[in-house]
Amino acid sequence: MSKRINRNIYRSLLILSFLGINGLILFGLSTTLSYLNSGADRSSMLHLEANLDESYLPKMNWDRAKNLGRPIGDQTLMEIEKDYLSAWHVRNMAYKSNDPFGIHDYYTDSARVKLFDIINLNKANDIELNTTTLAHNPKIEFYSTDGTLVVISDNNVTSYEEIYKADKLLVKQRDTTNYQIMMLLEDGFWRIRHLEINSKELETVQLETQDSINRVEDINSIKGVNYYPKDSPWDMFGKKFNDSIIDADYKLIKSMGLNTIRIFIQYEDFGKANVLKEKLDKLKVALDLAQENNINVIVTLFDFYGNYDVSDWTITDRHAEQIVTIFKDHKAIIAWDIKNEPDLDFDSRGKEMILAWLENMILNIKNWDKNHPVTIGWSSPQAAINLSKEVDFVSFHYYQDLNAFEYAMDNLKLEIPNKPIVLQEYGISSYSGIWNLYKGSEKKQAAYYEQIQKVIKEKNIPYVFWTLFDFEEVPVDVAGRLPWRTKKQHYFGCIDKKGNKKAYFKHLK
Amino acid sequence: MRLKHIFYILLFTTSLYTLGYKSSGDSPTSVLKTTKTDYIAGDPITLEFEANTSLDLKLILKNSNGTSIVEPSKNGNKHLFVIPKNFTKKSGPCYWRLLFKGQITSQGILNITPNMDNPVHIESYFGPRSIIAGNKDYSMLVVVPTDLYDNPVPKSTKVSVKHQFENNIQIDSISTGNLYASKMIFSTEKTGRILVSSSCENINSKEFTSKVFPSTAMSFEIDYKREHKFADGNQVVEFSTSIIKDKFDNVLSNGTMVYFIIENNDGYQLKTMGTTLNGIASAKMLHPTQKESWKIKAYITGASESNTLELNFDAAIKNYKVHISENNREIVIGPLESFMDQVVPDGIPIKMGIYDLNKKLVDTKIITSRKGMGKFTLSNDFFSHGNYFLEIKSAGITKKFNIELK
Repeated sequence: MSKRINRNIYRSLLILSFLGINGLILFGLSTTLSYLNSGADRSSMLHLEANLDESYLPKMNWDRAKNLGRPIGDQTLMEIEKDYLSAWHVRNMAYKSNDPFGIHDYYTDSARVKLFDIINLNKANDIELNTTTLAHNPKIEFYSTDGTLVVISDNNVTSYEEIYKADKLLVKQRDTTNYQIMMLLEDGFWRIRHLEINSKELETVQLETQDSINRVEDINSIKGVNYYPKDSPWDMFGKKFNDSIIDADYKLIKSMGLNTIRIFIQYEDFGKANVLKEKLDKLKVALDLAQENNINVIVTLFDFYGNYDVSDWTITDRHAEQIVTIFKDHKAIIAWDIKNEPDLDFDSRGKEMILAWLENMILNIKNWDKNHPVTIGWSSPQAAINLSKEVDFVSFHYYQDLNAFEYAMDNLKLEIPNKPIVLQEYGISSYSGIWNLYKGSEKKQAAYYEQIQKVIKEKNIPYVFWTLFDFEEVPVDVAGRLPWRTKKQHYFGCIDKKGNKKAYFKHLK
Repeated sequence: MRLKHIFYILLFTTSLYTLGYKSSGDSPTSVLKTTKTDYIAGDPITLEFEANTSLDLKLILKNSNGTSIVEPSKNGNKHLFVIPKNFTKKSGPCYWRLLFKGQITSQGILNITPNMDNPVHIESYFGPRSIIAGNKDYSMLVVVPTDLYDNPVPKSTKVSVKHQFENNIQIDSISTGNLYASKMIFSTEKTGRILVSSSCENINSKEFTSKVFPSTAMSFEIDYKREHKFADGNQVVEFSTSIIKDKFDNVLSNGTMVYFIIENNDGYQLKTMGTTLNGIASAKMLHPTQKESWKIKAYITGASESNTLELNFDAAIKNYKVHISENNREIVIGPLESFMDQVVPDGIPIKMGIYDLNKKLVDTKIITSRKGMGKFTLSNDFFSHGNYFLEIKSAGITKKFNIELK
C-alpha cells in the first residue's frame, strides 16, 4: 500500500517537474524572442526623411499684407514656409549635436559657412545649444519678379535656448528677436542667404507672476474626486466612452456633496500635435455634462507624456494650444493642470529640463487662456515647491505617512503663504491579498479617511481624493506589470466593483 | 513635537542657504571696464571686467548666426574676454551676457557695423531675361551688396544701375533697403538686347542681358500663288502672309505659328499652317479634285487675324466614260482626261454607291484612278442576281445606271 502511494508520489513529482521544466523553457524562449524583437524599429535603417510636423511646429502667424515686387501666391508661400521652418529646424539640430547635417539643404554656400564656424567653435569648446523657436510672425517684404528671391521680416521670434558646456547646463534663456531674412530659390529649395537680427534690443521675456485669478475662492472650496468611469480607467475618452454613464456618475458625485472632478487628457491618445476631433468632441460632451450637473472640472493635460526635450516643445505647444483655445471659455473648467506628477520624471529626464518645459507651458497656457488658473499636480508636498511662483495655485498628492500629513501641509503653507494649496490626490487601497500579505482592508481604508478628512476639515484644505471606483482593469502603463504594484491600484475607490459603497464612503462628506 | 521642530529648523536653514546663495549670485561685484560699444566688423573686440579673481565668470554671446560662450583670461582682478572672430566679423547687434553660477549678472550690446573700408562684394540677380517690347513688361535687377565678411551693407547705401539699349545708356541711382536694392528695367519699343550692370562703392557687377521680344502681332494680309486654276487634285497652292509686325513696327519673332483655315463651298474646313521666318509665314494646300471655291483666313492664335481671301477652282475633268461589262459585274471608268485632254495623274478618287431596287444603299466602293482608269468588280458572292442602281461620282461629275446583275 505504502509502496503504491510512494510510487504515485514519485510519479506526480516527475510529471510536475516535467511540466515545470517545460514551462520554464517556453518562458525562456519567449523572453529571448521578445527581447530580440525589441529595440530600434527596422524602418530606421532606411533613414527615411523625418516629417517636419512631427518634430517642429512653431506658431506661424503670417502677415499677408501686400509685398513689394511680384504678388505671392498661397502655393509659393507654403513652399517658402516649409523650407524656412526646415532651415530653422536643421540649424537648431546642428547646434544641438554640433553636426552640420542638413545645413547644406537650407542655407546657401556663403550663409552656411557662418553656421559651420559657430558649430566648429562650439565643438572645440564642448558647448552644445539646445534651441527651439516657439513663435514666428513672418511677413513677405519683397518677392522678385522672376520668383527666385524673397525677403522676409520675421518679428518677435520667440526662442528658447539652453546652453550646455561639457554636458552641464550653464544657463537657459528665452528671448524675442526680430529677424530679416533673404532666401533664394536654388535647386528647388528655398535657401537662406542672409539671416540678420533686425532689432537693437534683445527682449527677454519675463514670466508674469501676478495673474489675476477670479476663481481663487472656487479653488479654496474644492471638494472633489479624481474621476475615471468604472469600466474605462485611464482611458476616459476611448471606445467605451458613454455619456449616460458619465452623467450618472456626475449625479452620484454631486449627491456625495462634492463639487469638483479631476480628469485626464492622454497626450498620445489625443493625437499629439494634431488633436483628434473625435477626442475633442468627447471631451466637450464630458465638460458640458459637468456644467449641467454643476460640477467643476480640473483638466489635467499631458497624461502619459514624458519627453520634455526642447526639440519637442513646439509639438507639445500645438497639442495644448488646440485643447486650451477650444475650451478656454468653457464654464465647467475650474483649472488647467499641466501635468500629472512630473517630478517622477526628474531622475530619468532631468529636473532642469522638465521645469523649463513646465515653465514654458505655464506661459503658453496663460497666454491662450486668461480665464482659468494653472497648476501642476506634483506627486509630493516636497516637490510642490517647484514653480510655486509661476503657478496660480499649488497642487500636490499625498500618499506618504498619514501622521506626517499635517506637518507637511503646514510646511507647505509656510513656504507658499499666498497661494491656494490643493490636496489633489490622496487615498489608500483596500486591497487585501497575497501581494501585500493580506494587510489591507476596507476597515483600514475607512480609518485612513476618517483621520485625513478630519485634518482636511479642520484646516479647510481643498481636496480631491483618489478615486471614485474600484477598477476591474488597470492598464500596464499606469503601474507596470508587477502584481504587487498593480494589484492595489484596483482598490482605491469608494465604490467597489459590484457598485456597493465601501466603508469609507461615509467619511467623505 | 520634536520632529516638527527639527523640520522647522531644517527648513529655516535651507531657506537661509538658498537666499544667501541667490544673493551672492545676483550681485557679484563685476564692473565692465570696456566703454566702447560700437565697432566695425573685423575689429578685434575684448571686453574687460573688473571682478574678484576667484569669480568664475563666463560670457554668453549671441548674434544672428548663433550663440557661444567665452571663457576669460585673468590678469589680477581683470577678466578679459576676447570675442571670437565669428562674432566680431558679423555685423548687427551682438548681445553679451555675463554669467556667474547660472545667473545673468549683467548684459549689453555690441553694435557692429559692416566694414565698408574694404572693397564690397556685389551679388546681383536679374530676371526675367526675356521681356516683351512696349514699355510695360520689365526685368528686375536685385542687387545685394555685402562687405568683406558677407555682411549686408547698411541701409541707404547707394547703388548705381546702368543699362544700355542701342545708343542710349542710362544710369540710375538706387539705395539699399532691407538687405537689397532693386530696380525695374522696363522694355523698350524696339526689339533688341538691354545690357544691365550695377556698381556699389566703386565695385562693378558683371553684365546681365535682357532680350526684348516683339509684342503681340497686329492684323496682316495673306496672298496665294498657284500654277493654274484647275481643280486637278495634283498641284499645290501656296499661301503666304505679309510681313507680320507688332504695334511698334517690330517684325514678329521667327517661328510664330500661323494657321490658315480654308472653308470650301460645302462648308467643310481644311487647315494648313506655317511658322514665320522674318515675319512671313507660308503654308501649302493641294488643289481640289472638283470645281470649288475657297475662303481662306489666317490666324495667330489669341493674337491677330488676316483678311479673307477668296479662291476659285475650275473643273479640270469635264466628263468621263463608263463601260459596263456584259454580265454587268465589271464597271470600268475612264479614261479620265484633264484640262488639256491629258490623262490625269494617278489618284483621282472614284466613288460608287450600289443601291437595291428600294433605293437602299447596299455598298459604297471607293478607288483612286490609275493611269486615268478605275475599275469596280461586283462579286458573285456578295451581290446576288437581281436589279441594282449604281451612282458613280468622280471629279464632281455624277453618273447613274440601272443594271441587272446576272
